[in-house]
Amino acid sequence: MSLTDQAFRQNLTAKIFHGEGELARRCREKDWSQTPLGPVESWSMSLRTTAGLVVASPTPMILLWGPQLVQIYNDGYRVVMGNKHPVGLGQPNRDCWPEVWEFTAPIYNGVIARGESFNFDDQRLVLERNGRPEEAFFTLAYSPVLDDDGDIGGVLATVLETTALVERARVEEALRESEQRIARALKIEMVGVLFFDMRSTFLEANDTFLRMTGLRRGALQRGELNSALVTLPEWMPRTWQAFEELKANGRFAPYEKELVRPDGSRWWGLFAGAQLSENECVEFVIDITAHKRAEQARYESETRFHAIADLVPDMLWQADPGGQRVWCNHRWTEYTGQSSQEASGYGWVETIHPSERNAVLHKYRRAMETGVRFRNEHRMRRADGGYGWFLVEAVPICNDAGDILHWFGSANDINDQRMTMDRLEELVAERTQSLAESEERFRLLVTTSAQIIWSTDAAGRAAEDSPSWRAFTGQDAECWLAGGWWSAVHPDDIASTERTWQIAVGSGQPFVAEYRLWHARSGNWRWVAARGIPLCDGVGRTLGWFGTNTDIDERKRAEEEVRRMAYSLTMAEQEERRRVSQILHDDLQQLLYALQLKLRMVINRLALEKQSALAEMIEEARVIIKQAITTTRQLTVDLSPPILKTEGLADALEWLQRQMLELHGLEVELVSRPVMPGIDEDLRVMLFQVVRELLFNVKKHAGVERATVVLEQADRDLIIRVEDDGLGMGRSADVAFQGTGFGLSSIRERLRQVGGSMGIDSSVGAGMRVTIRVPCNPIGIGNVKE
Amino acid sequence: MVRVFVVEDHPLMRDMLTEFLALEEIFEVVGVVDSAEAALERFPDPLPDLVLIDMSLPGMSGIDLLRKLHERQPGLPCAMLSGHGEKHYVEQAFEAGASGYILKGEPDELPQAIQQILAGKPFISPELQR
Repeated sequence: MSLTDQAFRQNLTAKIFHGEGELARRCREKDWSQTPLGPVESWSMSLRTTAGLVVASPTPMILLWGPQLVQIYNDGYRVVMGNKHPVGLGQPNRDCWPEVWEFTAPIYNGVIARGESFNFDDQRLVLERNGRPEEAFFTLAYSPVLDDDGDIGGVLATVLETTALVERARVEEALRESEQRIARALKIEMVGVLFFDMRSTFLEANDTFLRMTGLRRGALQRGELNSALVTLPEWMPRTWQAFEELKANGRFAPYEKELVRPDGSRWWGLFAGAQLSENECVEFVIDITAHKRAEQARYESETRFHAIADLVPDMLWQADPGGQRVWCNHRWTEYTGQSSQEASGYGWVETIHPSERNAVLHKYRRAMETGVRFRNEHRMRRADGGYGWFLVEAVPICNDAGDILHWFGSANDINDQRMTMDRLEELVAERTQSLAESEERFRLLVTTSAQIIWSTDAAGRAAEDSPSWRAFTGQDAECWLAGGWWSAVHPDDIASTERTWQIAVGSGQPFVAEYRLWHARSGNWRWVAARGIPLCDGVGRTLGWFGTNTDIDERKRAEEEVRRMAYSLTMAEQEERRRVSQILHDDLQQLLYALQLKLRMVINRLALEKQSALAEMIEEARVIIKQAITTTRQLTVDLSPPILKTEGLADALEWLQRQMLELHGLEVELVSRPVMPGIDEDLRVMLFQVVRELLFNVKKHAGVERATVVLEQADRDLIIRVEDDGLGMGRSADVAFQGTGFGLSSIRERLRQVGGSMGIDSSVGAGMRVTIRVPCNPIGIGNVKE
Repeated sequence: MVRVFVVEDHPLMRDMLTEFLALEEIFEVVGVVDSAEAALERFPDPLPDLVLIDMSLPGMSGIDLLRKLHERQPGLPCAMLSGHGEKHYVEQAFEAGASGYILKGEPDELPQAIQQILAGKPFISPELQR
């Protein structure tokens, strides 16, 4: 630039920005060519005119020119700029005020694009004109400025900062509100409001305070009232303490005290206050008399409760809503050795067994958090250091709104119960183990035993498989479990066995039976002895049956053999007796009689020869022989009555009838009805012996001298009844006759051998009637029916 | 002389009876057999005065023989000589037609019994009458 041009520019600038203000000076000194507006000589006339007017105006203004809204402002606007001045001069508006661009951009657009004007009163803006965000209020007016060609070249804004005015208005509003609040406070009926000076003299008070205290407004207005007039002497120290606190901190913490009215009635107040000015304080009072009385009542109630609670044998305690223990009864201290103080808060946790402590605490805290009832069994330490089991419970006590006021807890001593339960559990475990072992042994027994082992339910139905039964009988498990056991039993034994089993199941008495069971391996029936016992619970209820079948076939056969041998022996003995009897009769008696004849002849001869001495000696011998003959004859009869050999049974019984009367003094009435002739001699002999034995029994045991023997036939059976009216006998007496050598059991067995039977009808004192029944053609030995 | 016919199976008894009766002067043993069958087959002719029959004979019994003889010679005296002391046999014998029942015990009863029977009085050994 030449000096001429430079002088021109300075001259032009001075014309545009004349005046003594700072901004006028800066505008003159500003090298506008470095701004988007370019050198002043290039400015339009409209710009030159408007910029000069703005800078010269005392009203805070700013001109924003050109597309970039380059700023030209005056001294009035300088304050608004803050520390953005002087950089903001000649700077695009957006670069200078980015923090309010969001607010201003639509305005500028409205002005430039559409020629609109905008006005704002006390517009709040947050500016950063002093290095930090700052709330400021402005009255704004935006209007378009035309360029030389009539188009809008820029925006003229008058900016009047009203921040101070707004702030003052705010303060004034706050003050009004405060006054209104105070006025309202004074009108509050529930709260007493008192203004007093630093000497505690009452200055002003609302009606509520006067009503609470019973004071009169006149005395108040005369400045005659102070704290000492309404406070009980014992509460004055607390009152002075609050007053000192007020002087030190400008306020005092709320406190309660008891006051007295002029009429002597007492009331409780809750006080809070603050210093308003150097010599003025305000105090708010709430009448809490009702609350205090309720609290007192509650305290008395709690005292009574605690007194009662101390008598309770259980441990009781109380905790605040957060679970902190606030009280426990004496029993707690007695048991744990922990004082109430030590147990307070969470001190009680120390008494819990270490191994359970964390779990209990976790559960307890969770209950406190959720408000759900706490219940737990754990061990607690006794004063002596040992531990006992307790059932500990805690329940929340709530107000009407459902808020937890406190927790109430108890600890019940369940040590004995727990010990018992533990012992029971141990016993159950032991028994379970024992049972398991027993069952294992049982299964082992079932699978390996030579015996048949079975079990049923209480109703007698097969409860589980019996491998040993299956192995013996060849039945399958399905058949056994379906109750088909009887199909393996001998047809002749099914009815009696089933009946015996049903009786046992019905009565709960042991099941005992012998029957023939099909033996699959040998293809034969084999005798088994079945034994079953009921398995009962502790109260005698039948749970099931357990039984065994023992193969007694060999024993049975041996017994049968013994019976056969016994019968053979009996028969042999009988035969031998007959044989001896016959020898005695046919030989010995003949010989003796022959000897008698011979000796008679000898004696006669000696008599002829007059050898009387010798004859006498032989005569003596002959007497002896005669005695021998008599003895032999009787012996012959005793051994085997000859009549049995030669006569029928009826005749033999008649002979026996006479024998019993003559030899034993028993009068026997014989009723003999026609019977089939030709009864086998062996049977005849046996029946004769049976009847004779029964008559001997009557003679020995019945206590009577009479008996009746009836012989008759029914169909093909021979029936003999031996009756008496004697002492009779009970069932056990059967055994007593065993000693006679031919007891009832022996008789029964011998009858059984020939397919017969014997029935006894007798009771003590009612005589006895024995009925013998045998087939006329008895089954031969070796064909005995079982 | 009383003629006696003896039926006795036991050899020694036969001999003794024969000898014993022979020693009595009034008796004559006209025959001795060892069984009932033999007696019927070889019954003496002329008839004896008395038949002495042992009750226990092999084969046909003495009672049966009695019955048969009683059928053949209803009036012929027969005495049963027996070792059986039961009255039952006595009754059987008399029912069969016996005139006497002599127990084999006392020898002196034998001649006494024969004479009593021949005198028309039935005889039963005193021992059986007690």
